[in-house]
Amino acid sequence: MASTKALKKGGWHKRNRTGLYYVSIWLIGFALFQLYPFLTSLYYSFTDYSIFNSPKFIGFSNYVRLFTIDPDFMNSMKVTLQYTFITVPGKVILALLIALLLNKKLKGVNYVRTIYYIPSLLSGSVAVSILWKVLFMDDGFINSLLSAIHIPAVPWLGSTHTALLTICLLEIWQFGSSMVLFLSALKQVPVSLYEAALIDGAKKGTVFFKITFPMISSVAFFNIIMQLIQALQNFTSAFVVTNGGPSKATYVLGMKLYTDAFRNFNMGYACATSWIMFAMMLVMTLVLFATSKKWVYYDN
Amino acid sequence: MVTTHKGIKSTIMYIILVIVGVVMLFPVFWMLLACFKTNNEIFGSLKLLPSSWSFEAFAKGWETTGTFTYARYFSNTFLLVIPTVLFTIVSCSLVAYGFARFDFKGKNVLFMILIATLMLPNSVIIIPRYALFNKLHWLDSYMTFWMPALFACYPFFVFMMVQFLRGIPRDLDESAYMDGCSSMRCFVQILLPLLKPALFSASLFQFLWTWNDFFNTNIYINSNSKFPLSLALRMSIDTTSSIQWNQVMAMGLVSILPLIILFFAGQRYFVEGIATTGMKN
Amino acid sequence: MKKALLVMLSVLLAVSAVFAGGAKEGSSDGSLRFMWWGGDARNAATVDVINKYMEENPEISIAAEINSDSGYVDKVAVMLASGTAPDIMQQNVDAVPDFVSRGDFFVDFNQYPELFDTSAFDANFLKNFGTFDGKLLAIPTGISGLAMIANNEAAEACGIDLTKQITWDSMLADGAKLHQEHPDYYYINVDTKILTEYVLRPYLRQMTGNKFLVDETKELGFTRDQLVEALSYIDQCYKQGVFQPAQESATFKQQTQNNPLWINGKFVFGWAASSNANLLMEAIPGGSFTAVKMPLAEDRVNDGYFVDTPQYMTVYSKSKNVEEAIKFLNYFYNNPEAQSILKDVRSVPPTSTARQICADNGILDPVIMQAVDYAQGMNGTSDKGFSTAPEVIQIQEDAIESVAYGTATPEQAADRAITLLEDYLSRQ
Repeated sequence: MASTKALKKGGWHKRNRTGLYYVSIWLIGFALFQLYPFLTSLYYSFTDYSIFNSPKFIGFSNYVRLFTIDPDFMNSMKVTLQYTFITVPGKVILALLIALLLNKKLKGVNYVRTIYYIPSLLSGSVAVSILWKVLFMDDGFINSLLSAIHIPAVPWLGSTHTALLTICLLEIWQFGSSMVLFLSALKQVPVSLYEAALIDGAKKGTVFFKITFPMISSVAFFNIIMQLIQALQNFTSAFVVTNGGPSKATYVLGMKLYTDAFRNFNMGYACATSWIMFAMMLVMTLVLFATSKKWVYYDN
Repeated sequence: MVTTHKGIKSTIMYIILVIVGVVMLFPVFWMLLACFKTNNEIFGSLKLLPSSWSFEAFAKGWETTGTFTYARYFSNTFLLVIPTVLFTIVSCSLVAYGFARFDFKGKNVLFMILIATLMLPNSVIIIPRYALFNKLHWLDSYMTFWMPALFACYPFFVFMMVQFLRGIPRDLDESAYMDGCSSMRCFVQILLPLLKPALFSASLFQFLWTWNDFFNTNIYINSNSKFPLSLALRMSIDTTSSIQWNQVMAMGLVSILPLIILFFAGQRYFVEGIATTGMKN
Repeated sequence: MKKALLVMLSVLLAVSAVFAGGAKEGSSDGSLRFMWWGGDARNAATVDVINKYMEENPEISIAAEINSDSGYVDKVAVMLASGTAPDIMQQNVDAVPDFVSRGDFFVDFNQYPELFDTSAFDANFLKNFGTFDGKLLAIPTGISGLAMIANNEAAEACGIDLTKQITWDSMLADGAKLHQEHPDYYYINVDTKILTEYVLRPYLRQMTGNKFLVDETKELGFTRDQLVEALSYIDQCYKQGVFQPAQESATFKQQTQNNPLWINGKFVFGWAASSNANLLMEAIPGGSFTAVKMPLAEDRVNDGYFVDTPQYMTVYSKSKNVEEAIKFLNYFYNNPEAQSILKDVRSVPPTSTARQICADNGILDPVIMQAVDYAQGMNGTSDKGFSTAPEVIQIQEDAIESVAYGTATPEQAADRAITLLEDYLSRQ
């Protein structure tokens, strides 16, 4: 903050107002496109609303129902948390490791980067649903590879124990976006810092933990938060590959509320579910923000 | 000695990269081969190679049975995606600048609200949004994508650029500001060049997501003449009639070709990022 | 910075002004929107018919809105709720009763007897499918029934007699014996979705003569013991190898034709709606097939099975061109030229005239014709309505899956299903 003190007194004040001007681009957008859907969905969560009728206020009934009668909510909650705690670390760690490797000046590294990114481009397309089914079916490629090295076949998508894991593998396979972000962050680390460390004779591990990681920690933080939010909401992969089955083993919350909203036309109920998800995400995000002071490095 | 040590190390590195690459790419490779197979070969046989090599799936998939060909769908997609990406990059980086470099009242609360808008799933806000766009007469037009982009309503990118900006040493623009540079000029001349890798990633993501978006385009776009690829690709997939999976695979691959090219060509921005090193801290 | 903001705002205003001015309100200028989903053949034929009609009626222009099967119901729902739906819509057969119960969305064809000719339809069929509360709100697009198709080669290999009437008991006994003698083979190719529609509900309907849920009284159409019996039957079929273990078949849920065992001829029978039974047959090139009658209990109240329609066509009540839309549909269903273009792209046609055209040209597959004939001979009554609401189907499927995966006994599964069904009924 040393440098800011040097700012002229009047200039500081004026400068802060300028910041608000920049942000007001979003504030207008927020007021126009986001605030209304946001507030209405909160209101709907206290109503009986099918999207066809006008909403009828019913107090906390939707919320009570979620925790009492609905047999799926707790299961979906469990499945979603499992999914999140497998895919988020899996994706972020893999992406970071690969990004570190790809950041080296190796011949042909441009091709390798592209290759690693291709799976992410496919995202949740229909073709991927068939791809995953055929690769992981009982007599599919994965199982025949396993049998070649004398591992018994696994009923990947068919068993309630492994279906979720198979979906997680699909998600982790598409780690490209996190990788790209890490690559961009790594390029921002000033080489002068490395040079100084090398002159001091620092060890590799030390360089990573003292220089590289702090410098990319703000992006790592972003990656973790965004992956978390997306994982908790995600339903595409479960939707296209298993459709929530077998026996609800991959019935994540995102799928449940989609089903409630657009299959059962119980929009009020879906809104209630999503506001519980919202609260969950908000708490997790705030906790992460609180811990970030300990490990995320900002230059200010 | 040092050079052979280095040689061994880079060999190991290559080996790791190749092994991971094979695992990553095998499914894509399988998809490519599936374009040449019949449905029975895809599902009923373990053989990797197709029994015959014919590009029929690509040709047939391209034509479609609708009134338009894929040429139309591709150009629609560009018309939808390119302005969306440009608007997103401009508006989101400006807003991010406001959050990252200034201290105004209520900033933290606003920032939290910004992130919170990411936390409600699409399924529950799409109805009020649809009603809103209906009132604005924007339905069945790309305005439904362009306008939110113009007003930075993709908080993901704002948050992302904030994080990148905060990673850039503050002294750089602060000193310029004190030298009498306007805040806009500080941003454009000093910060933007440093943000290139982030801007590139953001464009890439927004490009990819808008390109692949099915849920929103499905709801907002009605006319076949305005269909982007994501809708066109699903047009003749009807689970109750026979699906030629090789055509689905072929079109799935063809539709991501532009993305692959974009990524490959755009990589120089990562490499250019090294220019950052010129800046002394 | 202020300038930049001003620029953005003015762009917004300018653009919205342009769009507001040019926005196409559902105008009454003879333009119609027609939305459907389909595979290649259906899309091409439907576009052809539209073009033909526009040639003959130059004052009318019809915009085809071809959509994807996935996301179709969502889209229709959003449009109906927001008043933006197309004039003519192909409808998912299970969604229509739901839409009808939620609002006045569709035109009653009975109000326009001079514009829409129903004489070629079977009156009873229209009464059961498309008529709600005396109003003809939806026109069935075809006739479809549950079909049981045998793979002749597999039947021969396993020594299965295809001429005898299958009963639930004989299916269990024959299937168990078959799998014991030929461990590679299974009696019938199923998934848990098929089991709700082809076993659970018909089994109960044959036993009780009721719908699964009785719409009129909002009550269960069965007792707990009866549901336990039906679920136990399914449980036994899995345990004794009549069905392939659920773990193995789950991957191909809703596309049983892609099950490698079916492709490689290891199932004797397959089940499908007659409108897509061709998928099962096309999956085995060079195979030969026989349609057999669906399983019937020896002592039954009625046959439990019935014919229905694969989709509906509706006209939107808020359309500015109701009469033109109906006129087009009349052409679509009754004009000989349209009929010969459309052939069987929406299954066996619902009109006798179109069926005649198909028969004259040998368009319909004899196996499928046989299956439809069998289905038409069944005297069960349709249970479309509460029993087929997505939420209820989900409850039925969950019960079957928990039995199939062994996570619950038939008794536990029945108790849980009854609790949920009663809760569902209490909310209707």
